[in-house]
Amino acid sequence: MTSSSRPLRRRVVAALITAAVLADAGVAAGAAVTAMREGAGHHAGTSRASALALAAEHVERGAARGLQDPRTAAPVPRSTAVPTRVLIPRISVDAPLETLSRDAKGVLQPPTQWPDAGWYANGVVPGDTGAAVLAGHLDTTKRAAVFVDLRLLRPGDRIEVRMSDHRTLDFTVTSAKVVQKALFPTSAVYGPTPDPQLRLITCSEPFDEVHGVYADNLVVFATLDH
Amino acid sequence: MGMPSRPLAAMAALLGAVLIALLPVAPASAAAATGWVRVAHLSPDTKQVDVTLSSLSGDTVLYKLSSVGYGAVSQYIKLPVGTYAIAMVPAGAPAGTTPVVKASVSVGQGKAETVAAVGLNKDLQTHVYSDALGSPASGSARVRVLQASTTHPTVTVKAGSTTVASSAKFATTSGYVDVPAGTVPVTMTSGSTSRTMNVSLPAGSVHTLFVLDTSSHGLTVSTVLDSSAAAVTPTGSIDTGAGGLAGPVGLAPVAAGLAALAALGAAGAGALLARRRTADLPTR
Repeated sequence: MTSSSRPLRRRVVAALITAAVLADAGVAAGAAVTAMREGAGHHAGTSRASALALAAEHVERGAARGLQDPRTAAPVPRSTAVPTRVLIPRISVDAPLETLSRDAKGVLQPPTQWPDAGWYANGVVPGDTGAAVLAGHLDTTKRAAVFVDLRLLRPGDRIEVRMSDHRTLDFTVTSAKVVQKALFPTSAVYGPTPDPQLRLITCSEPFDEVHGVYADNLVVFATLDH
Repeated sequence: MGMPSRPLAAMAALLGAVLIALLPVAPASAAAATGWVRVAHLSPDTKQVDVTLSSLSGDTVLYKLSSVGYGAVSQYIKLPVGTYAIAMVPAGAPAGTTPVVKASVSVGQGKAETVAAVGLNKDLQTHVYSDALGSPASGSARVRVLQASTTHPTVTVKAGSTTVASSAKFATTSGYVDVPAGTVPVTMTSGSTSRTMNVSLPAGSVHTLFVLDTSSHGLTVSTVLDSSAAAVTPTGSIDTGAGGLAGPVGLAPVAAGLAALAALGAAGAGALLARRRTADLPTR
């Protein structure tokens, strides 16, 4: 489709008075109509009627009398609250959140305890514009860990994030993807998004016995409910 | 029952194995295809408008914004991929009022668009601008200019020492450029007119600098967030497993173990968990 369209043709309709009122032509026009409806032909009648006629010329296209000062956007500060807990009813997860950071090489470090999930704190705060990132272990050397059942999540499943300011943020799963760690999709996980989103990350088979690590990551993508 | 005599069975078995291997990836294909649209009122002498976003046929109103004034840019509206009609009427106008402006916009998967009414009221136009969702360099902010001033035909915009737009024409956008994050002086210059305003550009943020008129025919800027990324982007993947579940005997015993753990009851399990929390995580 065309990305530009010319002005619509003006259609001067008979019901100027109605248009003036409904289009919020201003106090003067509105007051004039009220006066006429009341049948009061007293003091303000003529001057307001001429104001009305003037306004009616512009009112159809919503013109103002001159240039207006714009509403400018207020800066959007980073939320000062932090996430404290993640709940995923479908897979019975109710876990506290550790604060995750990067090591000297820039690699994100996992939670230190297997029942915990973690939040990457130098990223996006959940609920702010952008993708907040939570990670949790799939397993230890001996047992299942907090995100063992993450692979069971499906689009439409709910994820709750509890915040330090007592808000609960509800996210809905939109997709999930198993990715090779060597080809980790950094942009899709950490890159810009125009709305508040969430990523949950854990490991996925196959297990690399030589290096003692899983070869893949599972990434679950979710968006904030409105 | 040798394999050669049962080629179909062998193929079925192979197919089954492939399907099972693919199962964990299945949710990815189930993702709904969506994109985003936002709406901007950039006509300096047009009063507040009501905005509707409808199916292209115009039958179904999907989204409404009331009393949108000059300079206002809506939040992004998330929509299934498709083409939509956007109409603006004077604020408070009844249903069926002839729109002041109309536009159609195509929403692509994972794409973001800005639909803007620009120009003076007597010469209103609508434009659709595509908003890029690329990542700023780690620790940087990314900006572009949308030049919507009707009183200054061309405007040059610098953010700090970086030229973002050079003699940008009315109703055009510049490309996106990375600038050092922080509080940045933005200078708009047009002929002999020049104005500098400080704007906040956090690391990882992507903004559009809307160049607008003031009531006294001067220039101002509205700094609108397009999208936001991690302030500092980690390198690569994350190691979140130690292999206890890996291999052919992985999942079943663990599932049984979890069931047994659940059967122990909350108190017993809690005590067990507390004692064993970190015992068998790999240390590195």
